[in-house]
Amino acid sequence: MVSKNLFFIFFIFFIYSINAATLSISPPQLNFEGEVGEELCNKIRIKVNGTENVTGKIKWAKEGYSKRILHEHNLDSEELNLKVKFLKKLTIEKSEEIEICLRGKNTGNYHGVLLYRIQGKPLQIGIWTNVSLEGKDFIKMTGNFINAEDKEPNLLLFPTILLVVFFALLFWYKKKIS
Amino acid sequence: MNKKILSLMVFGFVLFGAAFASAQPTEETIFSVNVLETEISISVPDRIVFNDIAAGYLSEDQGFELINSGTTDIRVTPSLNESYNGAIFKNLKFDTVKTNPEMTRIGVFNVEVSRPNIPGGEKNQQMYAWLDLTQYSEEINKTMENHEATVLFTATQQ
Repeated sequence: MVSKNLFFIFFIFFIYSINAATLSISPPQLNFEGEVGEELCNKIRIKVNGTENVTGKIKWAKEGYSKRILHEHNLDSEELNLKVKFLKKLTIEKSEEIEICLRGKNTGNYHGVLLYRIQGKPLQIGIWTNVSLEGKDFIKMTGNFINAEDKEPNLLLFPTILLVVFFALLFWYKKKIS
Repeated sequence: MNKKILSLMVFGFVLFGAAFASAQPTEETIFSVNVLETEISISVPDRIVFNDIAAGYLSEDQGFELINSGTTDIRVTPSLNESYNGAIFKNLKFDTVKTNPEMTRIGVFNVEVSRPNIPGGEKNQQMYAWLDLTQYSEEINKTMENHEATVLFTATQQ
């Protein structure tokens, strides 16, 4: 009877001791510094016990905010005109290196938190992400004619169209007078 | 001379010579170390079970540990998983002390856990959780057996 009880106590202790989730990530902070429209990349390493499914997301604070307060980071990348590429779902066996690439459309300082968690486990690690972008906000300047994300800006396009329209109007006006 | 003694003498001389050679001063000494990367690492328990409770009551405290096994000071913020749409676990409260606790509600509470004293070690932070239904105003018409919510512990560098 005593040995049965002892076995039960050890069993409970064993169950308790294995029921702890562990997650490790390095580094704890990423810095992206560069030009508007430039692709900036960094790497992180995620470690787990055994094999785990891991999910990731990134959240941002308002532009210019830089305090490390988690609940102030609730904006999506699109809301700040940032395009962030990283693996959002992956299976990790012990350890894996992941690349995070970022491209912004507007100048400014942005503060984010890249969050990774083990699926079905109660823990998550946040990596503070500092972004500093310099250069010209050519999206704001030229509207839809230029897409900073995918190609080099063609700054001559809009004035050329205006010039063509101007000469067309001039031609039409001269014709009307004569 | 005995052959055995002779061979022992030879062996002794060789040993003495080797010891003398190793004691000779060298031009440089190499220092070596493993420098560990700055890393956030945390362990939390998978499951915390409260005793039976009803509206108007405060649960007994449930103790558990947060383990910082990284190389940096961290701040841990518990939050309810987005998928939880019940009302019970919104009254979950935490503190780091058992006696005279301030009991801060989930969503507002966070705790700082310093890095381990030695690299590669662990720093344990004792925590206590309570389910405080003393201000729970809704009627609970049906017993909710094994009512569960996932609490996510988010660790960030301080």
